Amino acid sequence: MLTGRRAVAVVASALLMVAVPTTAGADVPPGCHMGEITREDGRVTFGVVCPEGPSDPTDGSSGSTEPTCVLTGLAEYCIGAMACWANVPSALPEAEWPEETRPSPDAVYTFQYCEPDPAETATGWSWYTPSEMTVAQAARQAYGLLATPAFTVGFSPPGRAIVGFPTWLWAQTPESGTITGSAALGVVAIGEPDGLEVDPGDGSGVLSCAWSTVESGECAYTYGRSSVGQPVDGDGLPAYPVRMRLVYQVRFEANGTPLEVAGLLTTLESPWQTTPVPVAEIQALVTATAR
Amino acid sequence: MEGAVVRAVRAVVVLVVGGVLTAGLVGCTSSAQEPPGLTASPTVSATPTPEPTDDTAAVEAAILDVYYRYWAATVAAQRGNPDPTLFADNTRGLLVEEELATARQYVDLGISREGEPTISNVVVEADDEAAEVWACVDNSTWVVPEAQGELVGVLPTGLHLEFVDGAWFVTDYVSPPVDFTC
Repeated sequence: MLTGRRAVAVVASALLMVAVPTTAGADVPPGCHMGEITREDGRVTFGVVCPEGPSDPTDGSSGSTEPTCVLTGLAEYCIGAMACWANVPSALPEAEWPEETRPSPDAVYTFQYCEPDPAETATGWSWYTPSEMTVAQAARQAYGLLATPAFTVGFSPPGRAIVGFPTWLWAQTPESGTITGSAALGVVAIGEPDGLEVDPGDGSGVLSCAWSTVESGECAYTYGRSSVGQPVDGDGLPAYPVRMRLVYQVRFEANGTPLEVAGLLTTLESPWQTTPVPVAEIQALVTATAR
Repeated sequence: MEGAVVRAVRAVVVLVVGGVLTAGLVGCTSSAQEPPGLTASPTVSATPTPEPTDDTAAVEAAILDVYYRYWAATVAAQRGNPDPTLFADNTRGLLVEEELATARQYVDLGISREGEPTISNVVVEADDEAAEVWACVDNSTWVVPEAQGELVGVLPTGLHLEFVDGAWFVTDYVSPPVDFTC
């Protein structure tokens, strides 16, 4: 609760608001319930009440694993031992914001309240400028926007592979080329097809294959045993569960210029796709005899 | 409220009325002197009271107008409407920030406080620059349906008002005097 009419102090730690956790969409944790959490001067407020108190202590912004304050009432985060909450933006109408002190066009006038605040330096109104997106952040965002195409696993011979005979494997997709993801600041993540990863399903492990999206022997595997004893496929035949995923090499450009950012991922893999491949064993191969 | 002290008053007005905050007050911006449901005439207080003059009657009416607009704004805000403009013509300072934060937290938690408080035994003390309004606020008619635990009943409740730029504004909660009971 507010305690008296405090002299308004400049909030020295406005940047801490970046780390303000929210309770948006909060569910009532097991064992807790909605109930009265504060009553002062006839004023009653409600919130989530847990057996150990209205809210667990938190380590707030310190990064420490030790609790630094106890969050009750409106308090959402800790600054040291101070339990704080903030309005971003403040309740003040924008017309009443002190424009003469505005540090940047993007700045927002905010209010922070902390308790205890013996020095009266944490509670008050102040400008807060949301951090601008850096090129590295834009690159990470662009990477996250890369979408691998849907595909299925193709194999040949069709319907049933043969022990000792190369089985061709490929990704069946109409989108076989480069993929891109665009973010702010002109940053683009570009994914170039690099290859396939294939798990034949017989316990031999994952193979790396050349990129192949058409029926060909670019990616082939020769089974050494039939799939007898494996789970049956839709046709009732025992089959190996063949898994495949697409692999891309990723690079970045900013307004068409190559962009190098340390720490960014340079490969991207699609989700695995699985298809059952029955494998039969043939005792003899009949070949044509020359006359 | 820590440090809340009733200011020395030059002209003391004591007014005892009973009433119910009605939903019809929400968003009211008129200069209505008293909300519907309030008795029109003050009852006699136990405190020796100077005869109200026209000026003091106007002051108390203005104070009560703002007082009830504050409650109407608070009821609307806590019913899932975290809009600071609700308080624009009735509340100033940190209290607006606190009301906004409370309303936002309620929305985040899925809380909607339903109904409205029933306000009675209203007492006003005022001078030219500040006022306090004490009342018995019945919270049993203003509830969070999902809340568990004992129902909150009638509580002595005090609000501090200040006369700023030619108008009264609620600025804080205060503790009513110990001899103010409900």
